[in-house]
Amino acid sequence: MTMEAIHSGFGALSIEAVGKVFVSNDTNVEALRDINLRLDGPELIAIVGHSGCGKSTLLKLIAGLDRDYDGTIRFLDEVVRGPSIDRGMIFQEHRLFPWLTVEQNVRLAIHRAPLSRAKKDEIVAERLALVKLGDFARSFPAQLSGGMAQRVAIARALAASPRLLLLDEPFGALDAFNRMAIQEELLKIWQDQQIPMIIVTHDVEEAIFLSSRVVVMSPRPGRVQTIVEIDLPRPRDRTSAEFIAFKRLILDEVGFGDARGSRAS
Amino acid sequence: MNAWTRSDHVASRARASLPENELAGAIQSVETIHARARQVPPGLMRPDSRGFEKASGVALPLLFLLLLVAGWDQMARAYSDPLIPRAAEIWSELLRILGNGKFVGQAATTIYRVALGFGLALAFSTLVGILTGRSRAFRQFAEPAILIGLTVPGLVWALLCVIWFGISLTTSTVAVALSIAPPLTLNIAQGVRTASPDLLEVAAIYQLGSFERLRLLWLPTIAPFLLSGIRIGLSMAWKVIVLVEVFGLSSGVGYQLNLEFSSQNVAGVLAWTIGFAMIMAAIEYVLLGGLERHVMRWRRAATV
Ligand SMILES: Nc1ncnc2c1ncn2[C@@H]1O[C@H](COP(=O)(O)OP(=O)(O)O)[C@@H](O)[C@H]1O
Ligand SMILES: [Mg+2]
Repeated sequence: MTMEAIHSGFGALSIEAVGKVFVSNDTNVEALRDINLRLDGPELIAIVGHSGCGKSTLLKLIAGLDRDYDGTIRFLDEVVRGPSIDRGMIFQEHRLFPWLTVEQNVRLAIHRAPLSRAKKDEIVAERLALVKLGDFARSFPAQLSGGMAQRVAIARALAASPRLLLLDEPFGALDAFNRMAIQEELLKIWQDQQIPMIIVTHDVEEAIFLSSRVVVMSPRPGRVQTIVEIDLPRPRDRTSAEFIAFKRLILDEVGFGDARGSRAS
Repeated sequence: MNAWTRSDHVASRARASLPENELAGAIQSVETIHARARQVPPGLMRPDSRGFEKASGVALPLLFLLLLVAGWDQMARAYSDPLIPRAAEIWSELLRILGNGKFVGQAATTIYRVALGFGLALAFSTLVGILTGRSRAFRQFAEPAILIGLTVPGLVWALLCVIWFGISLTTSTVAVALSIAPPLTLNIAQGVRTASPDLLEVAAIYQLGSFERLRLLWLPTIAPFLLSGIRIGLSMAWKVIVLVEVFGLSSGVGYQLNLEFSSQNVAGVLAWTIGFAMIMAAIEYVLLGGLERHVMRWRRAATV
């Protein structure tokens, strides 16, 4: 395995008093206000909240895709100043290059890495095997289903051996069965890779199933409303009474309390 | 059952089961299904008709050419004027220039000149096109140049270059490059603007260098635009190079055309024209067509 390097220092991600205002011609949108969050160790946390409460904005700030914000974001004791291979990101759309094969798409993530060609081939094959797509190495993205394409995106993000993985509604476009299958896969990958992950989702059940903490955000301006600790043992049973109780609690927080746990998104 | 019969089936069922006022909407949505079905190349939908389409793809253009030759010959016979040669005369003239090796040598000279001008224009246009597509300020700056370039006739470039550079390779290269760079640049700039911001973000995350960005992102993005630009450019280049060769050079297809013209050998003029047109058609179909199939294979994969 090639993971030794990754584990040496999963360190803290710390988000301190982060605010973000989008300035446009006539209106200013305050997307985030006073966000404080800490991740120590390889924890998997979920962020839920209504559309427009700044979840994507927060992930982009952590990824370093937008450098114009207030407050500080530190990862491994360094202030985030731009994108880095250390912080992988997976989007709602797979964002594969349509003209590259599955294999080439994954390889793209390690183009800059100072590794031999053979070593890169090995990493690509290994990551594709991890998401069970070894047989599709030479296919083009257009030949894959939505779930397969998203798994390639995961393989690509993992190829770069990130020390933090950010996922922005990664399974939002998948049907329910595909989604449950890929959630299980993500959990396995997380346990295997031992890296911190932050997953944004609008699916409360997904958040509870995957994470150790659920951050509930509220909109206008985007703030952290509450953080719910999910202390359920793994593997988790989506139909257990405790699971449903968490679902009810979080739905209450996001303002769907009257749905009595029957509305998951 | 293929998509055609399937959607027909849906249509007839829809007509049978819906009240009049809902019918229009239903038919319209069925029409959309039809439209979608039509987007798939018919050869893929109906394997049994493939052979027929292939055959007609050869037979119909041949039929046109046959009619053209026959029509011309009839006209030439009716006029019986030495300035309108019969088809057989043109044919023997064509055989003559092909037989004595003159055509191959002269055509090679002309193609070499076109290639030089083309290469120069391609390098220049790719650079300027990407800049124009990426930077608003650069676009505003370069737009007048492109617009002026588009309107100046190739004849003017040919004349000016002959005057400035005399009888030299520079003349043909610069004249060809100046005539085709504007449409090529415009096409590339348009292609660059279609680049996906999503993929640009991915390129930023994985910190692709500028060469990798060019190879993995920009070139594939602009490829279809580049190809159509190359097609336009090639057809213009051929017209300009002939002018340059007529006015200022002492070799090449254009020069030979001029020679045949001054000796009033219309069959010769036509033979040279037909010969060179065939070469350009071969470049278009074989080279560019093959390149397009290769570059666009990922898109084709989607419909299989
Ligand atoms: N590039 C942008 N320019 C202006 N406003 C933006 C931009 N991106 C997001 N916003 C605004 O910021 C707020 C939060 O957006 P976003 O982070 O996408 O929300 P979420 O991902 O939680 O649905 C929204 O009000 C949105 O309109
Ligand atoms: Mg979002």
